[in-house]
Amino acid sequence: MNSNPKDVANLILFGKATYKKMIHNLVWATGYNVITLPLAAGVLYNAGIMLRPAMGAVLMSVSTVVVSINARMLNLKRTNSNVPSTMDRFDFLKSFHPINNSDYELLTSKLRTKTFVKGEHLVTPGQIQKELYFIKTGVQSVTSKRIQKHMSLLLPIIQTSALFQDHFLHSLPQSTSSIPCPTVKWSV
Amino acid sequence: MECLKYEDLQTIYDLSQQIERLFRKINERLLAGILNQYMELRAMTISERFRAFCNRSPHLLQQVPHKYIASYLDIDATNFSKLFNTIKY
Repeated sequence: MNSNPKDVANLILFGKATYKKMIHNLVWATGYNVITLPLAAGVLYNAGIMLRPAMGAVLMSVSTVVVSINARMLNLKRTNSNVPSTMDRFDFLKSFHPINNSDYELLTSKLRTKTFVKGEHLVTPGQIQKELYFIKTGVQSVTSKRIQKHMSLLLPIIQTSALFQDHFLHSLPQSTSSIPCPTVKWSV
Repeated sequence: MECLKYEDLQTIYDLSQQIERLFRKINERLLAGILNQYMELRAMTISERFRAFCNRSPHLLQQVPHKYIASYLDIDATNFSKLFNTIKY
């Protein structure tokens, strides 16, 4: 939690997601045990299905693994929340120039979703950046081969939590120039 | 992350003058910001740069890891830490 009032809304959403996940896990665990416990007790012995104790132990472990994986999915959901909400993005764009709903829909109709892991390079040397990114938080940096370090270029973190990529790189990095070939990346 | 292809954006510009105007204003703001940062890097001392940053975007001190801010302001991590400790809340 920071001093941003929107954190309260995020906290409520997080609480709801946790509760939903808890119900998921309860249903999964109950359903799993309802099926496997009678099986382990030998209900289907007459049908020729008998569970060996070793297999029973494995299935017991699988139950725990399923619940754990499901719980980890909550974390995945949280890390994917770097996409600004529709209202955030609309408000952000309108702070520059008033556009109407149809223009906004026209703009967002062409939006595509791309997945990146933290620190992954968006543009590598020799490429031109040909995409405009909308994210919530991030630091745009350049990796310089010459001085062997990352340099932060822009900190596009807007108080409204809608975020915007700053520019297209219109020209190819020149490998022969004294300027190091830039590698633009977003650390998300 | 959500992205918009350069070619798609050019098509949208042709369809809507308002969106073209929106992006023109965004680019103006961006250019002004970049020139401002360029001027700060060339003309100001590290303490002046740090003070200007704190006045302009104090919230970023809480939201962005300090190593990135130090790099952005072209201030050595040690000096950044000293400057940061001079802030009185």
